[in-house]
Amino acid sequence: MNRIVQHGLVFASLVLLLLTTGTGCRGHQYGHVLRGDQPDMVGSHEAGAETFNPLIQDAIAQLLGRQMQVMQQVSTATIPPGPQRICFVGVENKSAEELGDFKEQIYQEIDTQIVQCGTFQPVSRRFVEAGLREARLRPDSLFIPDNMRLFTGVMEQMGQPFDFLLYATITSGTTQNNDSYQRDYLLTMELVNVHNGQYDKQAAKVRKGYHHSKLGAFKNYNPFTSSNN
Amino acid sequence: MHSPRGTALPRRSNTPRLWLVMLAVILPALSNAGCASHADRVRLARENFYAGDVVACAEQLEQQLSDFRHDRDVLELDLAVAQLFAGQLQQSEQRLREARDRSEYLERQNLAESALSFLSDDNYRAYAGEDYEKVMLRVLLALASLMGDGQDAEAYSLQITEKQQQIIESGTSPEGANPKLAYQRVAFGAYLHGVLREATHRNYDDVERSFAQVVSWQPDYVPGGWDLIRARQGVHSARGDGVLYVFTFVGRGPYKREVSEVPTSQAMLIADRIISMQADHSLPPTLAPIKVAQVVVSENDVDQVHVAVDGQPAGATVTITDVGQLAVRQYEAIYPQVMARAVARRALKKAAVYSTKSQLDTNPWVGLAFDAAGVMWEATESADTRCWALLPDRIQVLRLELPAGEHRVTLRPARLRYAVGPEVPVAVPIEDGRNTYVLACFPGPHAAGHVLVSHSP
Repeated sequence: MNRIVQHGLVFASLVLLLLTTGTGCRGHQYGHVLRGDQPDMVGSHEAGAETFNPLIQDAIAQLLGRQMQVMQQVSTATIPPGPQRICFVGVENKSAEELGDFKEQIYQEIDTQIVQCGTFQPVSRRFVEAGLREARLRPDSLFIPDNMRLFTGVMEQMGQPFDFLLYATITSGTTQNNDSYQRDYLLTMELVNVHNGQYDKQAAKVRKGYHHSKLGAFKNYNPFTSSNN
Repeated sequence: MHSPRGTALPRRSNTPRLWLVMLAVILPALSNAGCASHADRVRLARENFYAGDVVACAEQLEQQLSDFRHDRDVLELDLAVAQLFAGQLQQSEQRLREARDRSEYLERQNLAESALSFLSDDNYRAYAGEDYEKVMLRVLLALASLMGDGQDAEAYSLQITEKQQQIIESGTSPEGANPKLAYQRVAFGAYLHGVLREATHRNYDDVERSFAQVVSWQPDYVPGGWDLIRARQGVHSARGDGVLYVFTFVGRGPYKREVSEVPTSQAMLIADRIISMQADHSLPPTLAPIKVAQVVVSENDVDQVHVAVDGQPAGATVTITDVGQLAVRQYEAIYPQVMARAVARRALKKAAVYSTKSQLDTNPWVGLAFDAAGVMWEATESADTRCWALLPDRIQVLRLELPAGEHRVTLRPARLRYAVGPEVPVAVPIEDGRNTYVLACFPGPHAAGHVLVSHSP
């Protein structure tokens, strides 16, 4: 019984303390703006900004850089003056994770990088969607020659001819080690010249480890051991 | 055998303060005795809604918002539904958005409030909503946006799935058990996300993922299989056609009622009699039954809606989310926790009375008075029957591919395939390659409020 008495007294004291001091109230949520040089937050369960931002920068910079070199080597007589127009069809998610709201972000990031490079000019996404809607074609069916001709024709009718078709795919590969796992994220950019069918491709990879404890990272990626079980 | 009597604490000097504590504890509880429950207060508004008079329903709820401050959070939800079907889309979406943010805030623990609820009952806790209501809040937000400008519908559709995941993950106890793993997943968010992504004609991979989730989470939604095949191999619609989605709220939704847990109350009565015989002082006997809320499904006159286009039967709506079953199953999963709170509350009240008696004179008459006060204190408890009263029993959908142009669509509520109410006609514009959405509410044989048609994106 003494225990009940003690618990009752402790409880009554706690109630009085909380009521009189007002402690134990709900906390508020806060936010802050990151400076440009501050690193991205690292997603604990899925890929996020820390994964997709470097993937996009690596893949698109290398792909467009290589294409710019190719264009400089080719005689100016064969290439019409002005920036080459790229029809960026979209990002296809073939990874094991949901992209959620990141999908559009990735699209816009890639689109912006194309604009900023200067040599290429993207076709507005709204025209791309209108063209696909008008032709009733799926993006993954555009690589069939007949479909590509149909789509090119529709875009030309809308006053939006283009020289290249750009397609992005995100894939992932998962390696499990008991409670921890490593996931490799690969962004692949495929560029097709609609005039001659030439094809170029660039991929960028980011590897991430996921663990249930902070020691998991050390255990699985210990620099002093060459392999782990 | 008697246990030693504690005499170390000074008694007389503490007596007035202890009486004050007792009064401070018991009087607020007694002040609640005899009050109407939340279910009683919203009954008239509900009846008006079910009779189709959403404007009167909204007016009553607005009046109650000012009269019953403690029910405000749950009344806001009902008012948002009434406003939605009254055609006040922006006000409804705004109210739902505020309710969502407030619910997120209220989800966080408030120790003072929790302690106070142990002195009285769960009605003293701010109402963050049951888990199914938190998910349905986002479903309603998505639909309110969809029927308005549609700008945020996709974001809300993602939030539906995210919130479910968050709720389930938050259910893990320190011991590792998680009753919320048994929760049925709400497929509506994934479905709407797939629908919206398909309309872009560009993101069939997202569509496939979303519809695969729908098939997995709601296997009895038969059209989900056709949607998945279309996402993998087909296109949004044939050239010259558009797509009409008819969403319907069907039936009266789940509600909470107060029930007495008689076996637990009897067990507790026996237990406190045993302790009273062994201890220095008696405990207040458990004469008042332990009351808890129970989620129940309404009896409904409607189980589907027949849709005709330009006078021709086009199909019937099919359940994409069974709100009633969802609520019942979710509540079953956490019911042991609800019971545990109720039992713990009783135990703490008895302990508080006992500890007070132990510090006062053990005059039998005083002890008897304390026991009587304790019984009254326990008897003032009432179950927390607050709930989102105007939710439907089911959310259903029908997808129709129609030629572009204006169509006359009629909706007719039915039960077991037989029409039970009058037709409700609505003019629907279909655009080539685009989606159009219709939303209607049939809590019974008559539609509640307006049949809403989306604006073109």
